[in-house]
Amino acid sequence: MKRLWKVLPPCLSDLMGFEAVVNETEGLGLIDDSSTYKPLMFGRGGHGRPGMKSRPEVEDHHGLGGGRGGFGRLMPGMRVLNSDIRNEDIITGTEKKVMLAFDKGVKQLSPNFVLLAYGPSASMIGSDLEYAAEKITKGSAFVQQTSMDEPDSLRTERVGASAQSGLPAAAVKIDGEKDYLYGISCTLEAMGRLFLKPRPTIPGSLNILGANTIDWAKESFADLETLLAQEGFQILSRWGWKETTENLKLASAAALNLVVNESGLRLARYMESEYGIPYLAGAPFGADFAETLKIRLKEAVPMTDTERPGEKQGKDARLSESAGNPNEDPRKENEADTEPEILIVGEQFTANAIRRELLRRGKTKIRVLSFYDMDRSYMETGDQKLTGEDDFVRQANAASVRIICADGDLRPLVKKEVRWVQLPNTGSMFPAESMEAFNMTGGALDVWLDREGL
Amino acid sequence: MNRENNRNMDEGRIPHRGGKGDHLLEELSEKGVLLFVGSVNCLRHKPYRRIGALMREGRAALLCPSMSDFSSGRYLNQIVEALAELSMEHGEKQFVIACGCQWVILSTDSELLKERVKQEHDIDLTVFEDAHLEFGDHE
Repeated sequence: MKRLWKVLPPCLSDLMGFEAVVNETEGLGLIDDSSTYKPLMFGRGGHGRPGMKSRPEVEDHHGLGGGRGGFGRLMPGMRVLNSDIRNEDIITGTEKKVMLAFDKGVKQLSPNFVLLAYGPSASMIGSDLEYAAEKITKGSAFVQQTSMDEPDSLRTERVGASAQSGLPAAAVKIDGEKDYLYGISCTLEAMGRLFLKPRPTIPGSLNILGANTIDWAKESFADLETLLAQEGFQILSRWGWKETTENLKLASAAALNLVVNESGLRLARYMESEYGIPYLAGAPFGADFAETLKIRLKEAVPMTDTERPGEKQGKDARLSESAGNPNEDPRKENEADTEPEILIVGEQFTANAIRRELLRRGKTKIRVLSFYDMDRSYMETGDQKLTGEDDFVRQANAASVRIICADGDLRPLVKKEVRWVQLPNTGSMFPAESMEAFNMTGGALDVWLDREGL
Repeated sequence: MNRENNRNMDEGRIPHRGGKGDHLLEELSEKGVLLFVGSVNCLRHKPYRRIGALMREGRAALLCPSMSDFSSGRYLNQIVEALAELSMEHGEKQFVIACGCQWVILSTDSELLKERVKQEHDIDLTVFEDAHLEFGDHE
């Protein structure tokens, strides 16, 4: 049955994707919700449960020290607060609580922007966070309207923070219903809409979109930066990774966007339509594709003021669909729509990269499936966005399937002998056995495939 | 308390640590197969931290209706359908529903639902109206 999960533990929600992005910025995230958001290592069962390999220690990027959270108190590494709404707020509205949380957040973090998102309950009652964002941007409007309702101590606190606001703020339309990739995608787009203004293009520059701390290993990202630097490209900003607001604002000056995860596509398309910045899309995993990527980047990124983006490929070439699409593999013999032999289940771009390398190695009949957000432009015939366990059961138990690359928690759904290749399950909230993301950039993917005997 | 915790751990239950939420899943799963109804986001709450383990043991399942399922009332039919499917697979007639805040906000008539599943599928249903909005993280 669709939407019924009997075996596969829940994935990280869109609000956790929001959290993963905001925690790497200089902003403040406010979720209109009843209880505290904790670092994702806690969400993934990292309560010291025996047998769990916990995530690396949460870094205290902002020097906030310890503490166990609670309303108005941030745990180390966290830049997301909840509004702490209660039953009565469902009747009277959540606005006051949102503004109070905003004040607390400003005092602790001194953010330079604010993003708001809906908890499920706030979404149900139709909280108007866009209005709240507008008030935050305007500064003291809220103080004047509500100060008489509050005790003196609270009023003083409120005046202190709200009055000095004027911070850019926006509401992100997510509410805890969808998966983390969708949340990252919507959050990045909201940040783009908030920060970007037209700027003259800087030759040889690019942005990296979508590399996020859930799907990407630190080593993977470091290797990507090295690869780009070696080719002489200037990275203006990193969307989804740790980045300053100042750099994010510079992004509209880039000659090209490099989209390395499905969650970066929404922002890439916005920047293409609004600022004319083309994009290349595909995870730079596998030595072969990394070489191809270098060539395509050199073709696509103008290195001087006189070149125009895409000029070397023809004026009307849509770089986004033609140059970086990992599905444009020269080996066309993949006939996964008929009888798949290999299934790869996971984040779309990572799964596409693994497929691309397997095709290069002579494997055929490969399908990519995902329980998370997928983009049609990067799907091959037979690929499927899975809407429930039943979808996976049908695919995985097909007679032709002999290899499955996926989270081990899916294994009980397969009622036949297959070779199982465990993939990282960082998007799962309570995996039976945690497998962290590992380096796949460039030749690292090939090394892993060799080790797995693929 | 430690002795009690050790016993609970041995029996695969959540140990008591004194918080309101620590008792929740343990108490609920004793009454039947647990069906959580709500947004995936709600499972971040502390009482649900063992939900994955319970699922692997076949003692819990998740039904995650969309916002439009909730607002249109479709979730009520989805619940009945899910309970019937689980009952058939597990050969189980005792179920417990733990629900997210949507249930409470929509003033879901639990008694009516209990009557319906009893009548249509002979299922005995207990409903725990989750209290995120009352207790935050149930602590």
